[in-house]
Amino acid sequence: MKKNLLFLLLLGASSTLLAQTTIKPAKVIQREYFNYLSLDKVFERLEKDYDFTIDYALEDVKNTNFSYLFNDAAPETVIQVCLKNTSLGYVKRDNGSFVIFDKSKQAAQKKAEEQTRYTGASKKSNFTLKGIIKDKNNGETLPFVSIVINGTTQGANSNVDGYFTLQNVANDTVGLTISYIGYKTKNLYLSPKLDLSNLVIELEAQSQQLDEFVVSADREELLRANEKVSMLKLSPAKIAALPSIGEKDIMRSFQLMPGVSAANENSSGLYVRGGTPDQTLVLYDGFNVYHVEHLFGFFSAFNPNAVKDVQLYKGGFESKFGGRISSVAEITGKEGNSKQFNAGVDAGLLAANAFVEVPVGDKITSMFAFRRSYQTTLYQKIFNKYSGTNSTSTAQAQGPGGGRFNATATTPKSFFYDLNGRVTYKPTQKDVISLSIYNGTDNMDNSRTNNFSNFGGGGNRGFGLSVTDKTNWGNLGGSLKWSRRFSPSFYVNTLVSYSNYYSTRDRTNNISVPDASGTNREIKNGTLEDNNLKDYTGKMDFEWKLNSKNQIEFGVSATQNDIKYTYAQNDTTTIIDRHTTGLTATGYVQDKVKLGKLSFVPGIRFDYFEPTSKSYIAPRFSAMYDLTPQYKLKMAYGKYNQFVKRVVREDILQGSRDFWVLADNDKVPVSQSTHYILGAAYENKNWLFDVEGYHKEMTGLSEYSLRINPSPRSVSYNEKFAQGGGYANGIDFLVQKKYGNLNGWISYSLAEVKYDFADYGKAFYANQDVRHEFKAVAIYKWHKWDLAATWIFASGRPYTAPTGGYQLTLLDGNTKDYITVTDKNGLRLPNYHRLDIAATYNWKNSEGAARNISFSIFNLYNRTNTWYKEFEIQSGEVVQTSVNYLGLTPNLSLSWRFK
Amino acid sequence: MKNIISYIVITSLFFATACTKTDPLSTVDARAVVEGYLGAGDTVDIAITKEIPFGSDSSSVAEPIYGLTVSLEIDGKTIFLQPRDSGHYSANYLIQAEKTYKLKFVYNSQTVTATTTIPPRPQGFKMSASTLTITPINFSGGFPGTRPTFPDPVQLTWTNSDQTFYLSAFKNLEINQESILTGSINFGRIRRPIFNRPTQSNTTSIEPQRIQYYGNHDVLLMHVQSEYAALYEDTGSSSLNLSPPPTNISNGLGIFTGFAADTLKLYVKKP
Repeated sequence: MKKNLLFLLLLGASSTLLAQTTIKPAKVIQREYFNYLSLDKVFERLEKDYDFTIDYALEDVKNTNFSYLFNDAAPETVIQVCLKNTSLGYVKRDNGSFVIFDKSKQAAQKKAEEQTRYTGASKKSNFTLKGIIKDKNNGETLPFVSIVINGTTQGANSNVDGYFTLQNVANDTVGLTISYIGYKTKNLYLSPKLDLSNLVIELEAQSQQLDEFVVSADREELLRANEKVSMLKLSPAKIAALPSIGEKDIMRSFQLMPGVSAANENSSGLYVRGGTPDQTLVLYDGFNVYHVEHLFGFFSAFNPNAVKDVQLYKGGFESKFGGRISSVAEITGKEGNSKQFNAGVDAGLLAANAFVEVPVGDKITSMFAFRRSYQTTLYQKIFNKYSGTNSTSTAQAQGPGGGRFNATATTPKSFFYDLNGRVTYKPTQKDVISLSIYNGTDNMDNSRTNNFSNFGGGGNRGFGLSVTDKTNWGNLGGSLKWSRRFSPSFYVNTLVSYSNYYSTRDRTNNISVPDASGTNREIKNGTLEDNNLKDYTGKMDFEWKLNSKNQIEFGVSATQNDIKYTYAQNDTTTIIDRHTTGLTATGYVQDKVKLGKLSFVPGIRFDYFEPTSKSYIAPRFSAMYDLTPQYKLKMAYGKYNQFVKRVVREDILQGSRDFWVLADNDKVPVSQSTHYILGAAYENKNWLFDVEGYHKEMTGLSEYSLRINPSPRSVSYNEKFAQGGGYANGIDFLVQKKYGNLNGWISYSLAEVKYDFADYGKAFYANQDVRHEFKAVAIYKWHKWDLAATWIFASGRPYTAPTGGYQLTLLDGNTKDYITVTDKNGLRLPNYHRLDIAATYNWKNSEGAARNISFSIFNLYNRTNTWYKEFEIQSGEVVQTSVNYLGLTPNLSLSWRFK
Repeated sequence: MKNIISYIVITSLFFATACTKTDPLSTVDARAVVEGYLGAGDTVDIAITKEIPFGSDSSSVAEPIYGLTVSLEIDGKTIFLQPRDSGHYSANYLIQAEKTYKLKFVYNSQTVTATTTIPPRPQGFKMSASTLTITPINFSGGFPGTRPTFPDPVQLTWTNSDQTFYLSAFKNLEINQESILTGSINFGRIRRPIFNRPTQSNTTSIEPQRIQYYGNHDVLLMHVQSEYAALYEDTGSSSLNLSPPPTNISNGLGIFTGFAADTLKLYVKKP
């Protein structure tokens, strides 16, 4: 079977390929003469003429020549004859295919043995298999790995600590298929010789360089989309091959997938199926992270070097997750290498990134990763684009009477960093204790002093000005977790966590004014903002494998939120001072039921929210039915509640862009949603066709406006929360070529998000409403190179446009312009599209440590995409100017591993 | 194979039907823009112009609307306003404090209406000083070598127990105005006569460095309505934040509002 299948990007053309991948039984050879052919040519003919399926590495077989006359030979006999007098061995799989390997290569030998059925009698039947899944190279435990008993639908997933339990295993010689994204799929036969109460299964990461013994089904896989309803999973190790602008980015990689919008180029946030980023629960090692973005949202704040596993539930998620109405991103941090010390460094045009992994004895592992940006041209380009620096740098320097001086030009000092640390202690085989810490922060200092020194030594009154402009925002969080496997069927996870989101801004002018008596009066004018959210959570999750058909999961948790938001005009006058606290007490129970071809998860979640003194009951249900091993039907339903919301300020040029508030009984209602999802999938060895339709109803949505009315010597604010509801409808398509040197996917989403707010009159399309979104991702492996291209097309987002304008003379003689507008979000920006490419060269040093250098170009054909439009009245005309996203931007990055 | 074909067909059909058009915008004819301030004790004068359409290449002066029948209703009586130049409509009727007036006219077959109540006159209006002494500042040789000193701000106070809106302003009354700042420095938008916005407080101040001329000034305190205060709302200037402009005109745009003013005198002199 030639492995370099052509990756046809056109949807319709893929149907013929689908048919080819079905494995037919090999035929008996009636009469065939092979005359001094190399073995690879022989195999090609066997595959072509006799329906053999043979996996082999070309370099193992191409130098062996073969001559033989077959006469009425059975398939296995043919293979035996072919390999006679060679150093090659073979394994026949259950499906009739053959795997050829070089016996002199130890890894291949071990793998082949594991793939060989134990021939003796079984000693156990109907028993419980327990074990743990680990990375072969560094001993890292692997969560959410799929383990399936061959020839059955019976299986399990490893839990977050890598442990798994399979009940009612028929006997101790069955075959298992263990698969995990980013790792080679493993076929393993049990045998009575193995420790079946503590089976350690080691998976091998898909290496950048494919060496010996390549089985086609073990090739690269970046995305996995068909394990659960509406769940996407990506391999953090694999995203390096994708084009990036500065930094590898997990969230931006999700944006390439169906149902996650890529139309907001300025945001790495997850706009999932019509939801907004704050409606996505982001869990990092079990604790909530509120600040998930760097550089005004352009980058996500998660360092891929510190992340082991990421799962995104796009909707219909289980009862064990709550507190958000749209989706869940569950991120598991790396524990660190348990076998040896390792370290690595990555450097790009934007940031440097370093990590160390230090095992201490046999029971402790640790991992620390740190990333910090530096102010390169690329950084400055993005910073200027998204900070509005160019627009604001002169605006604060006011001369007398409100006139403006040009401020002395200053370049804002700005940087971001993030730090991840995790220490894991495994005192016994049953216990795992881990401490995980995360801190990500952005700092910006745009302060400046404008002294007109010959005018009285730096005094002010508008002639000279000292402006403080400091912004600092980020998240500090940590969790301490103790997991214990009390018995093979009972697992308890206890976690306490703390998360603190902070955002402060000090944008003030310091003025020293001498009064009539000559005494200096100090005046501090401007704005001081402070948003501080604290989240103290304690929770216990229980997993109870009742029998092979039921896994009951239940848990309790309590979260105390303490949120402050102050907006002060100067150091003595506070305009907004909001301080809310509230307890959310939660309980849930769900049952993962597996009945032959049908699996389903009924569940219920109960929340008591102290500020509203109300209880919220959220039933949920998801189900999957395997029509055949390839065809699957799926559905999900669920109710969701959200008590903490991020309010995004509409005015991007003023201050921090967002702050968090706690729902109350008054201005900020509890957001609620109901999800209905229906889908189907076809998946075989190489291809996945997946379609999911959804309908999401939302109530209790909030929009916020803080009208800022600057006038000389004073600033006034009108705070307004609008309340409403809405719905999101859509359908997501995915066609994925999973394996092969050329792999990738095409996705298309059709969606509609409409809001209805009493304050705005008639219903309108939400800001994030994108009708059509098409994405194509292709990665081609060529020798040591990974070549990748991504193309995104998104139809234009809605916006409110002017229909005209007028001018009024106010009572004080001033005039003011007013712009009249269309219906809210009544027009659409132009379509968005963009092509990014990347080339990554991978190599290993003599000790096998991975290195790579990557070059990528963002927006290759320099498409001018519109971010927003600005309007003003000039000479009686309403004039519009388009503000655009980034044009062509190249990037270079290096990655170096110690081991 | 059958299944695959039907899958492809359904998918293709979906693609084909997906390209539907979005809702058309509701199109609106250029609306009437009213600028009507009814001051207690003043006569009536209201300007009515046309909204400037987006992308218009008309001149910077808004186009007046002539030939309207504009009426003002008070206590069941109707007063018809007389058309004058530039879209102004007026009447020699004196506005009374604490009365409610309704404006009405028909434009483009739509009845445009607006209602306002004239607020009571300000009570207890006081100023902390009636004279200010300010040293002249001369920029002719560049920035002066020494920093000028200014007197303390003049504090304005009044009674406002119900936290209604007040607007303060002051106006130089001299025919031959003598500037405090002299020389050739360009201060851009410095020569704005007024600088406050409506407040719900009972005090405000006049910063001496904002005064431009010597001589006699009227210091006005205007009791205004919330519909007037709303005019100061920033309604955005980009597609990220644009919102409809505040107006109390039904089927139209602009403002129709009452106010009542009190005036004190301020004299600004040289040392």
